[in-house]
Amino acid sequence: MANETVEIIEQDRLDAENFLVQVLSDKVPNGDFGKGDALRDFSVTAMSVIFAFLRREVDNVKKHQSLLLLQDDTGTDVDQAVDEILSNFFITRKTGRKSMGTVTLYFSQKPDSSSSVTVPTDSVFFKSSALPFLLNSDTALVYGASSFAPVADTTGAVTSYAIRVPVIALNAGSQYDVEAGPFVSFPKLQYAMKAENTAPFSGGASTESTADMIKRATTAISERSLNSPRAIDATLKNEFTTVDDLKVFGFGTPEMIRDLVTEEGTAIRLHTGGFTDVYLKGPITESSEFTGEIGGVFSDQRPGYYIFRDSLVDFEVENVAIGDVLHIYNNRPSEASEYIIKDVTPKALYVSRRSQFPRELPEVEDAYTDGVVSPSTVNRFSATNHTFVAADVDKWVRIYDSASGNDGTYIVSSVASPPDNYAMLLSTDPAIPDPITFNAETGINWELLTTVVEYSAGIVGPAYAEKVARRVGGAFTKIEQRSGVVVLPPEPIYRIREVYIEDSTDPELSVSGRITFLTRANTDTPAEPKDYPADPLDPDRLQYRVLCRNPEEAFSGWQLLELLVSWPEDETKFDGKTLHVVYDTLTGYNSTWEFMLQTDQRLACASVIPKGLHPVYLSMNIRYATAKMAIESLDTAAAAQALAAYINDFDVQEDFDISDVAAFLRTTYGVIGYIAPIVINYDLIAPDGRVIHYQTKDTGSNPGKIVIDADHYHPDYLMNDYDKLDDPLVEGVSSNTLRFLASSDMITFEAI
Amino acid sequence: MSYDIHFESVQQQGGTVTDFHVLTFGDYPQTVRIDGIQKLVNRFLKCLMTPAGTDLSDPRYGTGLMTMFLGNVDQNTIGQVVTLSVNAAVKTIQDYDLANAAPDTERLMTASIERLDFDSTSPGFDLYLRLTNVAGTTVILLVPDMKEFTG
Repeated sequence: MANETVEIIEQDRLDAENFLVQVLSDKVPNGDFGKGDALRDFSVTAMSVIFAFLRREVDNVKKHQSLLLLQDDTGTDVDQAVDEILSNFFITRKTGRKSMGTVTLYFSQKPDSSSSVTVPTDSVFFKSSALPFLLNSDTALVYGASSFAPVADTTGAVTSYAIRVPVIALNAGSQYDVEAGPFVSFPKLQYAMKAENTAPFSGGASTESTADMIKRATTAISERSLNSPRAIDATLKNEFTTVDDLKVFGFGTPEMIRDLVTEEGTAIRLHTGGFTDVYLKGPITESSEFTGEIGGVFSDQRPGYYIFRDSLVDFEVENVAIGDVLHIYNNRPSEASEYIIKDVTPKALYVSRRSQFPRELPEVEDAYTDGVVSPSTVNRFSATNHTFVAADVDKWVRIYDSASGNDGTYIVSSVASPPDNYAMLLSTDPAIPDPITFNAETGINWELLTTVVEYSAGIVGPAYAEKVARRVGGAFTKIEQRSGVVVLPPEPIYRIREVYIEDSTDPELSVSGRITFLTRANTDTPAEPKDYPADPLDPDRLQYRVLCRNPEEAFSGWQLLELLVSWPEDETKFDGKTLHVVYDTLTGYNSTWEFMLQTDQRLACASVIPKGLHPVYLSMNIRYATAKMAIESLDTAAAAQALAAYINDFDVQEDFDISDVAAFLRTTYGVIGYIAPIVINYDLIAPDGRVIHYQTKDTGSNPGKIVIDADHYHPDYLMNDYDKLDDPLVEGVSSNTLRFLASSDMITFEAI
Repeated sequence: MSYDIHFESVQQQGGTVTDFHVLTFGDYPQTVRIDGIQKLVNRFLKCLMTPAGTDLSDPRYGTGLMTMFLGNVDQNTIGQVVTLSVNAAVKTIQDYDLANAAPDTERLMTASIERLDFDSTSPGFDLYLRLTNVAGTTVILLVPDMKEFTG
């Protein structure tokens, strides 16, 4: 307030004069302080301005001590006063956010296989002369030949090559949230032809307004920890500019499903408490790209979830099922010996994370890549980098990833004297009789184990061994692997825009250098032809499926979200290929996740995690007639963009019906004279990975509310259970955890 | 009866007013309180000699009399300005009197120009004013001396 201008008006001075006259008349009753008197001139008029100034200054100071009064005022001095008041509570003004996105840069030719293109850190991309974007990377980005995607014309001829460059706005502000389209200037890299963004940019936000800051202050003055809704609200909003709003669900709220435990005997589900979900609302980062090897290994992010794998056993072939028992024979006394299986994949068994595996088993002493076996030296195993000694007897050798069928776990029965020092191995598998006959192989990957897992699996106690007989082998790990599957990043995955393999060699499926999976399906065992490609080798019918293994932790950093691109008859068709997945996600989620789960922030006695609100994407076709008096036509692109922004900002706590859409359009665009009854399609991305389709119509008498309700299923998706979610609360979905989203490409206008 | 404080004109050397600083509390050991017709005389002369527009609380307060001294003015103009100024001061004081419950001795009945003398040998003039209060007391003043003229 040092530079504040205090402005007094005539009324202030008159008030001051009257006050001074009143005071002086009381003190000097015989004095005449009437107008025109010398006494008044010297003792009242001369002082009135100074007195008025001081009174106004006092009023300002008083006002600047009260947020209640300041919120009705504007100006830089008000902003500064609010900053100063709230700084007493360690609340600082949010500085705004920079918009981010991806620029597609086209080249007339790509580099040869031995060279690359480097986009330097000082690169500047101009959407317009007033909207510069910088490279969104701390280091220069190097693009090799394999990063250049061919761009083909309608005849299939390659016309250019494209790379995708992440960029970030130079300054904060929503004006940088630009629509898709060309850039007017871009780095002059060799052969670069043009640059464009194929998806709108998002995430930009201006510096927090004083009104918003005062509004935030109502919840910001609280303990700064994660132990109550108010404290969580205060902590996260103050810590992250990417958190616009949040909702907290804990013990006793119907949306809390993470604390549900099913009692195995009676199947009763009990809320155990101790869990809190914090649903975040923030800007959306559009068109993030993930690449992963189809059928490759991935790590299960979930805490406590260890997977039991035995590379020699296909658990599905052995008919191991959910509810069967995994029996560990050599568990330690402090560990359980029997575990109820919660999930089965061909290569892995899951148990409840509340009955964690004995992770100490097996104990690996060392791992090598130099094992040697030969048929001429039956059951003899040697290695260059490990010299077997007598102490290795009764330890185990586990051979894995053998190229010649030698995988297995074997026990060291004896060790040859120096200088031979090879190990004699005995089988631990009844199916492999001794002496073992290895297939000749060198360079074997192997481990020397001091403890192995002895296990069986089945449903009939006490042995539980009728499905997988007692055997030695396997390991507890977080590494999983499934044919046809990539596991998507552990963050809220919202709209998936593209799924494709860069492959121009498939004679049936490659189109313009890519195998593209166009349709998101809800099942891979469909009942309806529309849900499954009658001809899987028709490129127009390729589809993908998204499956969340842990819906209770969906849209969080612990989700295990699989994307499947194969079909049951040919599960391994695309294994080994690199899958590209372009998707939208919640901006800044990973930072919030790391903050909330780091040791010094998280609660010691509870699990508090951030999640993304469950997205519901709205799409519609607006049929309208231009007003008779209109002198211009409707800018449909601008209208679609404005309506999308309106939907994205809508608070789902309020009822949202179609009349809101029509009212917004009529209010914003006077050129619209009539809007025909609107049909809104809305797609919920459910926590289990399915897309549940709904439809609402505005029939005049019924305003057509947008609600996730079984009464509003889209008529095209009524036939099969896999397209339904009759009780959304089972997956924690309610109107409290939803977020309406739209994009301008989902809204079309049709003049009638 | 309430009182005001007394002031009188600056005694300029040679009797010439050289700027607008024409009023003083006088050469007294302490401030003098006044009432009755002396208070009325002071109020009237202060209004007459205040340039209009310079009063913070009332821009209309004052007259154009002092403005006349900023330039060379012929005698005919002086006569007209003095007449207008006296009339303006009369109206202002009477308006103020209507708004204030002052005793009759402090309220203005009339004020008029008694005499306006020019000295052809030096610049300047002597203005004699006849001022009568509601109580019927009349005094004749010499401006700028503002002392009662007794002939």
